[in-house]
Amino acid sequence: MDAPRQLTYRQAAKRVHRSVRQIKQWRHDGMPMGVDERGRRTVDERVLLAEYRRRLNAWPAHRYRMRSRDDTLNGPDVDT
Amino acid sequence: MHDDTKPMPEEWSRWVESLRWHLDLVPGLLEAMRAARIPSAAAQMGAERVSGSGANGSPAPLRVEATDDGDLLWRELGELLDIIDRWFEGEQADRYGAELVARIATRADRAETTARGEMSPNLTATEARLRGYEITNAILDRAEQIADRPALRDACETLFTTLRRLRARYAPEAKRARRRRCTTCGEVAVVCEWAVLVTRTVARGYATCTECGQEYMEELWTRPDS
Repeated sequence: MDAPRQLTYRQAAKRVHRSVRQIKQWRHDGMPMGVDERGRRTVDERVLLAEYRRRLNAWPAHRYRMRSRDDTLNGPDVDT
Repeated sequence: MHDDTKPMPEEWSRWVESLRWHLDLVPGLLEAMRAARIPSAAAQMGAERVSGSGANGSPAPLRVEATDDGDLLWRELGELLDIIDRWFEGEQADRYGAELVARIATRADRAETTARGEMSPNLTATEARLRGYEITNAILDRAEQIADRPALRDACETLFTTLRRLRARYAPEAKRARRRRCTTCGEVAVVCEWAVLVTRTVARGYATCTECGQEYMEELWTRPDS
């Protein structure tokens, strides 16, 4: 298992395909972050990904998209 | 906070997928072990000199471990192929009797296997890889039938143990099986592994999404086809 990486705002934003502003919003909402030796805010990659998954699961539009994709892949339900 | 591991979807953890993952390693491993046989570039150029001898005798001109491991894998592959062939011909293979000796002799006729079932020393790394593809394709052609027969599955599991051990030694970056669509983020980025050991010989299915970090664990006790 690789050692967890510490990501700056910019790296974190790139990792989860979000903007820096959104990552800052996640911190305001309670995502734990630390400070590195150069005084920059950093976040543990595992913590960031866990927050990313939590938000995806709590995002109705994303859940709807996932369900629609599943239906397309599996075909429509047929009542017998 | 991180403990949101999901059970692995059924179609990912089918035994056939595990078979495919393990057999995908074979050509690369055969090539790597063949290439690792020669100790250094100097030896390939014919400049290898073995001089003097200590209490244990002269050093071997070839890497003995790589050669032995290559022979072991080659022999196990040959035996597995024989077992599968015999099974589908309607009889159970005899792995230890005179019949086995006869079968190895038949393979030795093809000039790529020695009389003891080992890989021929004349086989180059590239040839070993190509032959690896042929053997694995022959097994994978019957993957679905093998999965339905516990005796054949047991024979394959023996090979899996060897493959996992050799992978760790010779090809840790070996090719991964195809990726699956993540049920959390929707990206095709889930890498399945069958090499997370539960005991020394039993492996457990494990998968991680490289995009969102979602982890999946195979529930061994609920696996429908085990």
